[in-house]
Amino acid sequence: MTEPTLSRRDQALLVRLADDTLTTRDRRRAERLVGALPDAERIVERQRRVARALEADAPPPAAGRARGPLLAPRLAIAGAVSGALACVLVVLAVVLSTGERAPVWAAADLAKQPATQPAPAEDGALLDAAVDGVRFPDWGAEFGWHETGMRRDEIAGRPTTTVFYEHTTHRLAYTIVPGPALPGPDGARIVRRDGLEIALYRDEGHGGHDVAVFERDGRTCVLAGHVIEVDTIVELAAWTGGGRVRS
Amino acid sequence: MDRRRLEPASLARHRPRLVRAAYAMCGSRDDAEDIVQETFERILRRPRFVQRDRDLAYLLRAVQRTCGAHAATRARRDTTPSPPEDLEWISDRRAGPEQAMETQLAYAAMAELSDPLRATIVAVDVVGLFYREAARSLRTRTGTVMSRLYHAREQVATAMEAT
Repeated sequence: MTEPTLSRRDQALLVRLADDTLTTRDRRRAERLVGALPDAERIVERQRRVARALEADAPPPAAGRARGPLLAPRLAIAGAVSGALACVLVVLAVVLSTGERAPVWAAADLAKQPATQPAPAEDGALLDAAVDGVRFPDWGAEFGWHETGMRRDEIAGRPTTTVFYEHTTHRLAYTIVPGPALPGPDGARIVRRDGLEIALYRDEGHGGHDVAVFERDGRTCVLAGHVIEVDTIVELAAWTGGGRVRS
Repeated sequence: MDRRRLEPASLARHRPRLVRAAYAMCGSRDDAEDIVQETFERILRRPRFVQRDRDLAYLLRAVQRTCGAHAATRARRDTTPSPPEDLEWISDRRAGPEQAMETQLAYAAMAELSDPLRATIVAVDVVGLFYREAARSLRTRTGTVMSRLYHAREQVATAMEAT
C-alpha cells in the first residue's frame, strides 16, 4: 500500500496524535487534518500498532496502556454514550477502590484512570487550572511533556484535580489535593531538588509506577506514572517555570 | 549547563533497551550483546559527564558509534537474515503470544528500513527517547525526527500487514 502524500507538518501531527503528545493548539490543527483526511484513523492506528510492538517495556496487551479515541468529532453517538457510561463506572471504581488506601496512594492510583475533561489551556509556564491557587505547570516547551486531559475526583473527602501529561508512550498524572497537606505513607526515599523536598515511592502494583509526593504552597501534590528514569519525575516535580509555580 | 557524572549503575539499568537497540541496528543477538558490552567497557575507562537525565541518549549515541564500527568490519545485516530464535529472544517475556508476535514482526520489518529511518524508530520507539532527545542524539531536527518516524512506522506497518 502506498503512503498518502502528506506534508512533513501533517506527518508530524499524525505521529504526535498517535503518541498522544499533542498540545492543545496542535490538537485543533489535528482535528482539522483528521476531518480532511479520510484515511487518518487508519494511519494513526498503524502508527500506534508499530509503537506498541516496539515498546521495550510493553506489558501484556490485557494490561497494556489503552490509548484514547482519535478526536472528538469522529466519535459516534454510540461511542459517546458508552464512553460516558465507562466514565461513570470508572468514577465508581475509583471511589470504591480508594476507600481503604492511604489518600496519597489513592491519588497515585489516578494515573491509571482516563481523563474525563479536556486539558486546560496553556498560559505561559503554567496551565489554566489550579487548586487552592496552586496552578499546574506547563512542561511542554521545557520538557516535551504535554497536557492531554484532566479529571476531578474526591479523595479523603476533598475535591482533587488531576492533569495528565504525556510524552511518546509515557503518561504522568499530576494531582493536587486541596486543604492541609496529607501525611505521606512510610517507606519513601526523600530527595531534595532546588529546595523542594520530594518523597519518592515505587508502586509495583501499577506495573511499575514511580510516585513523587511533594508540597506546593502547603498543598499535597502527587505525580505518578511510568518513566524511564526516576530522575525525570524529580526534575518535573521541582520545576518552577522560572518562579511562576508556587513553592 | 548542569552536568553530572554518568554512574555505572545507570549502564546496567539501560542495558536491556540498548541491547534491543543494537539488535535492531545490527540484526544479530550475539553482535548486539558484544556491541553493548564493548560500548560499556569503553565508557567505563574514564569518567563521563552528561547533562541531567540524558544518560540514555548519551548511551544510545555511544552504541550507535560502536555499531558503525562493527558494520565496517563485519558482514552487513541484510546479507544475513535474523534467525527465528533471535526474533523470539527480542520479545518481552512478560508479553502474551500476540504481543510477542507483533514485536517479532516489527523487528523483522525494521531490518528493511534505510539507516536514517531505522535509527529514528530505534531512538523513539525502542529506546523511548523523546522526540527532542532523539533529534539531539541523531544530530538532526525534531521535525525531521517526526517525519522519519512517520515513514518508518508506515513501512514497518505495511510489512507487518503483509506477513
